[in-house]
Amino acid sequence: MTRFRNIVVRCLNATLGTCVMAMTGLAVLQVALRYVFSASLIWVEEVSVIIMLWMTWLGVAVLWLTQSHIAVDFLTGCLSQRSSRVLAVIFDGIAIIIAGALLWVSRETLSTMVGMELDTLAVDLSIKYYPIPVGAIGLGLAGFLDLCHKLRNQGAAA
Amino acid sequence: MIWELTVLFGVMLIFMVLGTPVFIAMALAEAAYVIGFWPNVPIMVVTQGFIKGLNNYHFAAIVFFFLAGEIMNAGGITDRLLRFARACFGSIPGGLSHVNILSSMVFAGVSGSVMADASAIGSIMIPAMKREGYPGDYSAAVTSASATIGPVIPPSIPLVLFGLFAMTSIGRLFVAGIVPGILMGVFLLVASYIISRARKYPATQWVGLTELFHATMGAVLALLMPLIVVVGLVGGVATVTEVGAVAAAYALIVSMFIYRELSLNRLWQVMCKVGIDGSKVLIIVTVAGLFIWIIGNMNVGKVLADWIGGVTTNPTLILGLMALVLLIGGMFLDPITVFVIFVPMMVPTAAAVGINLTQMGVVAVLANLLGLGTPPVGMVVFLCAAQAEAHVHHVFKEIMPFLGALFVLLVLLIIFPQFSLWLPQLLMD
Repeated sequence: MTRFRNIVVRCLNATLGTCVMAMTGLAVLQVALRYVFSASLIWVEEVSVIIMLWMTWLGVAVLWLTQSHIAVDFLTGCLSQRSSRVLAVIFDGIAIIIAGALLWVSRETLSTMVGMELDTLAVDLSIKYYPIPVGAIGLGLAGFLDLCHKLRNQGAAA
Repeated sequence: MIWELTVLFGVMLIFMVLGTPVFIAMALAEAAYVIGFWPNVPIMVVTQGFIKGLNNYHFAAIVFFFLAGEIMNAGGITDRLLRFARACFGSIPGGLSHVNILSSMVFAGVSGSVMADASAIGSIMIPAMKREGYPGDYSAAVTSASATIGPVIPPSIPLVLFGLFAMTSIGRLFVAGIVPGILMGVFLLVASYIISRARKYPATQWVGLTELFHATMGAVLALLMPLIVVVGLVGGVATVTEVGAVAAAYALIVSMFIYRELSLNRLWQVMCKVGIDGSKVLIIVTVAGLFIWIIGNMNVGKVLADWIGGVTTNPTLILGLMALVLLIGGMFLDPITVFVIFVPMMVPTAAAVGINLTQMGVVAVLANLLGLGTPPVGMVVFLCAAQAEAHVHHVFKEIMPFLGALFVLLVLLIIFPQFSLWLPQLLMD
């Protein structure tokens, strides 16, 4: 399980790195084209926003698995180890529930988008909305992996 | 509306205090509102709100400025900036304390984040200061206080966020941050000098003009970074997002081909790290999309504007109150969360009473940053205290004179809009 978890983190990390590289490359290309060739690509902004949306929602799973999300921890720092562990398990449960809710909500939205296209590309508009269900699956998986990890550690400690 | 707001903010704050990730706390608050006040928010609006939150190309600027700072940092810029600062100020009593502040000022032009500034400068300056006999508490306090300059001098992540939420020019905000950012450094240097004289902190030997020249030459490429950002924006060469990308490309060229300290492997690590750091901020912005929709739908901004307008119409007083709210918010929450929650609510009030949004942006960032250095959370203090192996409450005590100096500056910025507006008016009108 730990190995699978590490593979997931590594793959997602690489995807996020690629997204950053692609976004930066496109923006620099846009400036270069404008000043060197007096031309610009109309789809750069749209594509960059799509990449940014995918990066953000895919990043949710990495943030959860590496515990690197932004959180307020001034109270949790005062809790006993046992209470902190219980809270962490509850949070994993909440993450799985939220992931389920997001999946349901995005399915409802996606079903209404058939035939709609982006402004600058002949691509289905749903490409902007798919990061939400995919990110939700990632969050649910991350919550589940984290939960298994914690429960197994607790079992080993007991 | 009171009941609706209580549910929205109550659920969010309860989960935030319990330590839930901020985006999850916001999502839970939104879920509670959607279910509790059904059918105020149609299901379609939920996903649309999430997408709309991030459906703006300018948010990519946050990623690009993160990238520029990280590349510069990985490419050995920190050592060069410290050498430059040491050559300038090292020979004054309390030299390393001043060097710390000057380094942060210069580093602010490369990075736009407090934590990046504190960890980069602190990792080198705190051990160096301790070696020269400065107490660890004081070293951590100076580093924490000076790191707050980072998000005021352009490029600045909080100013990008403010500009996008307040729908005001980010370029103007960047230019408006220059004078207050330099003043922050000056105020901190004065405080540092007074403390150093009183405690008889040591000075290092004057390095000579040759070393000053070499140190300046070594740092000049880094010093050009804020210039590229400002000239790019003021000259209308590119949008703020494109300027961010160009700054990242510049950092890459300098670090890889001129300093030759950035390998391809390290660059890849930096890209991955920036991906995570970007997601960390952008997921809050995404989830806040629905939050802002709900607040807008409730007309909170207008109600707040009417209510405050009934009490006072004095823009200075209202800006002062807003700064106080942001300062208190900064004591408990990180800057991104504070901006996402409070700025969309405050902007209609500010606009209604005639507060200049550019001035408000600079005041809001500084007020919020002051909160970062104060108990109970004071994230930057925790980071620097850990680097200095010092007790957090001792660092909080030591940082007070510096925060006092910055508070005086905040009051001046509120009373005198010219501090923030003079330069943008001069260069951009």
